[in-house]
Amino acid sequence: MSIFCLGVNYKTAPVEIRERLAFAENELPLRLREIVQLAAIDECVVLSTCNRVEIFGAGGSAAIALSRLAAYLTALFRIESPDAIAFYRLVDEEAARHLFRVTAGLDSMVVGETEIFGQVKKAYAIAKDSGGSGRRLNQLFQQSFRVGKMVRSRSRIQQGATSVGSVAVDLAEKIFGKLDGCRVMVIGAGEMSRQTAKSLMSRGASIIVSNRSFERAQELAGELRGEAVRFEDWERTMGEVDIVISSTAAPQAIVNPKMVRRALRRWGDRSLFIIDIAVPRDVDPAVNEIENVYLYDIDDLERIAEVARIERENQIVQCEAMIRRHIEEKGIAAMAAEKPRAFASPPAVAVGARTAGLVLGTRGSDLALTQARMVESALRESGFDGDIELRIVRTTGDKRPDLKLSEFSRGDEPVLDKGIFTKELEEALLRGEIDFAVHSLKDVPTALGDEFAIVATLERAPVEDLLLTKAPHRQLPETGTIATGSVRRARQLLWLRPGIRVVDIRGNVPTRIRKLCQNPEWDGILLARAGLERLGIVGPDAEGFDFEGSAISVLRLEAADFLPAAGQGAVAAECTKSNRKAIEALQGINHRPTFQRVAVERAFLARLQAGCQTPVGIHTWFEEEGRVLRARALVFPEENPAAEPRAAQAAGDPRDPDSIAGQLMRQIQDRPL
Amino acid sequence: MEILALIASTLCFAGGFVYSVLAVRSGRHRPKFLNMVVLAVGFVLQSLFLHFRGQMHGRCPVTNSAEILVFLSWSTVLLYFLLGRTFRLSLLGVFTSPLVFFFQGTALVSLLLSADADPLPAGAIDPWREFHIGVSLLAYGAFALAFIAGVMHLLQNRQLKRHQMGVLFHNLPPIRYLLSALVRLVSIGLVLLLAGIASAFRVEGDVPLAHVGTAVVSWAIYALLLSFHLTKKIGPTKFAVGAVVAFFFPLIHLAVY
Repeated sequence: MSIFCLGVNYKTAPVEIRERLAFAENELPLRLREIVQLAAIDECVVLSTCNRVEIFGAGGSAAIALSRLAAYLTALFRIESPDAIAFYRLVDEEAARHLFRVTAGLDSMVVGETEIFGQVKKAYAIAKDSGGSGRRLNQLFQQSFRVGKMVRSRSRIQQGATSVGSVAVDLAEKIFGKLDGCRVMVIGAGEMSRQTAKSLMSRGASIIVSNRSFERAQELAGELRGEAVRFEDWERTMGEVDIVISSTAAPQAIVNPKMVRRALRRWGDRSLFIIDIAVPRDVDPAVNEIENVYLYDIDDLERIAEVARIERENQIVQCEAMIRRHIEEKGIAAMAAEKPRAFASPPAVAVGARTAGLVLGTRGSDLALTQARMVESALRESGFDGDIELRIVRTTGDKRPDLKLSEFSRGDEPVLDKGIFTKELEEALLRGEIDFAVHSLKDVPTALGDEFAIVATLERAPVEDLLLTKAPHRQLPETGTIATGSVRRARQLLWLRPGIRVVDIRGNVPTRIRKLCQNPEWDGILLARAGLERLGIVGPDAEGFDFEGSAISVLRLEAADFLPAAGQGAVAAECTKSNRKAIEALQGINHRPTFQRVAVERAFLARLQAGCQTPVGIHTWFEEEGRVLRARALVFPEENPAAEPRAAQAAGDPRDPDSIAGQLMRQIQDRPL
Repeated sequence: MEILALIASTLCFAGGFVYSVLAVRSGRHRPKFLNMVVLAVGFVLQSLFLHFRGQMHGRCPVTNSAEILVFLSWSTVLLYFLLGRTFRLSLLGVFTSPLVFFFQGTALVSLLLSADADPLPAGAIDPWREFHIGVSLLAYGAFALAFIAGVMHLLQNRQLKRHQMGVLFHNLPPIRYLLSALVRLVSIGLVLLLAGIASAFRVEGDVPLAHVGTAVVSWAIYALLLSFHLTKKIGPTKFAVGAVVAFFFPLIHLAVY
């Protein structure tokens, strides 16, 4: 007798797949009755939201049930075959743990979000009413609600606002209390203003819209159930409102301290909250010095939201521990697999030897956590049955999202090339706090300390870079403004397209895409395909996607033409050389071809003595059925931005990476600039 | 016996403060219910102390500086219960506890060390005197709460201005509520103190002119502050600063008399 879960979510499947699998709410009772007719399925609950489609079931053999379920979905949604979709299949305790994590908000796109709790409750209620769920799923879901409440009340997982709109609402409520009766004026009718105004409106505020185009103002006002005023009247109206959201396309500030003081004189001791979303800013920063006026620009709101997101992610480890303890104390494993309690709980008295656990260290960003879970899954699939505890470590790069990558190398003690994203993880390795660390390999310095080794790499994701743009392109555009934080991408771009203007960008992947959407002067950004696909933002061959209401086009830059970074797309596990336990476990998940390729790439970088800020692109590939490993490299001189790069090609035995790296190096040295 | 009640009460407020600070810092939940219970127990113990002292003196137990401090603390806590929840300023308890602990701690030390703190023999009661003392100290309790609300306002304003959204930011009430509380507390204090000053002239025997004069000065300062704010001559921040600074005048008055 088993409990199981079959599903896809925003991490494992892009929206094009998830929308095909979405269940319409009015059809759920019928579908639930159909599912429990399938072999080995006695009970089921369907959870179908915009970010996940999961079916929880209870019945006989989990293997048979999952297979039947996959076939059922394939037929129902007219999918080519069950293998066309990468369903995850969870059984017994894993299925229970997953449900608890989902209900607690730990598996959500915005960690700690509360909507999912209501969605799970609703899905369960529909299943119960239509006879889909029975005794076992009733028990399991009741436990999940208890766990969800416990995790949310005993941790800070849902504290802090994680989006610009919700930060604005939080701040407004901190100034005014309840927003009923508050009046909000929106100057300019951009998307971000609309979203922020909607957030405030949802709390009872009334909206006034002013825009250069009165028709557009009326349109937005209608949508927000507010009123429109002519653009020439916005200054007068400022004296009658509590909150101003400004997002015009003015080239310079349109709101100055004198104007605000004039408006203040009219309304006395009322506070004024100004949200300046525009870039360049609409409001003179000196306005914040005025008593009773609180001015926040888009960077302030983003920073507050980012801090809250990081804080929530830091809570994940504690919440996972709470869930684990709950599962042990309540004998959830026994309930899930319907085994007698005496054998199922607690694990400490289980019969037979269990592998000692491992502690996995990772950064807390969305991508880092996704990659950490990939390694965890790989370890499970390789047969590792010990506990794997995830521990988040904040690195230098995480602590200063405001600095450009190049700024880390300034000063007497530059931290760049000492690993701004890896140093603290290595320190945790040395202190024994973690057994191994999971990195994006391109973040790892070429020269590791003597104590450390990269012992495994997962199968490499596609290495190409993607150009994300507001307008579609069939090839690299000749002109425009492109943002990237990578000197390699910047230099290649300028070499291939001298007419392009390159600007710097920092932040995690979603933040960068958001910045592209919000900055009217930018035409595109460059990002690694691997990261975008792992986060579920872009599908494998997608030509575009929707991001928070904005349409983004995708152009894939072939690796042969736009060389990737060394180690790009590779997830690596690093540990100390003395940790035999970790080395043995990790060698079981090592993907040898990837390991050979990145060994060549990193050996070349080491010979160049190149760091993360050296503009080097390198692409490796196998030929002759894996017997020959080829490499092509481009090295751009750091000191002369206008100079042509030096190019090199080599080939050799993949078991001898140093030889291939040596060939490349000799060619580079033979071609002085 | 009454000293034990005072010691227990003081420990309650100390414990309440420590608990509230730890709970706020951990960010897990707001210290509402448990904090209220601790303050309530502390208040009951304060009332016991004052009751026993009142029995011993046969009059309102404000015969020395220690008893005045305890009565002031008691007034502050009483007004917190009557008004704090109305303004939904549950966090006020976090800030009230340390002030009350400070007053009572000082009173305890004084009672234990000073011979002047011994109970006076019971004598004839002058009701106007009792009324004058009680109402005046209640007024100062309101000003003490206004001091606390002013501190909270200044803290919240600073965080909003500097764009700092730390743990305290999430737990402090909206700044508009704090301003509203300030205005009401100062107004209540003014009304009570006016009654206290007026009743001084009905007290039997001579009341030192300086004593009344100092109270009048305190009253005038708060009245000016409130009128400047209501006529928009000063903004909320300056009003909050004023409420914080002005509280030193009642304290000086109590220290001297």
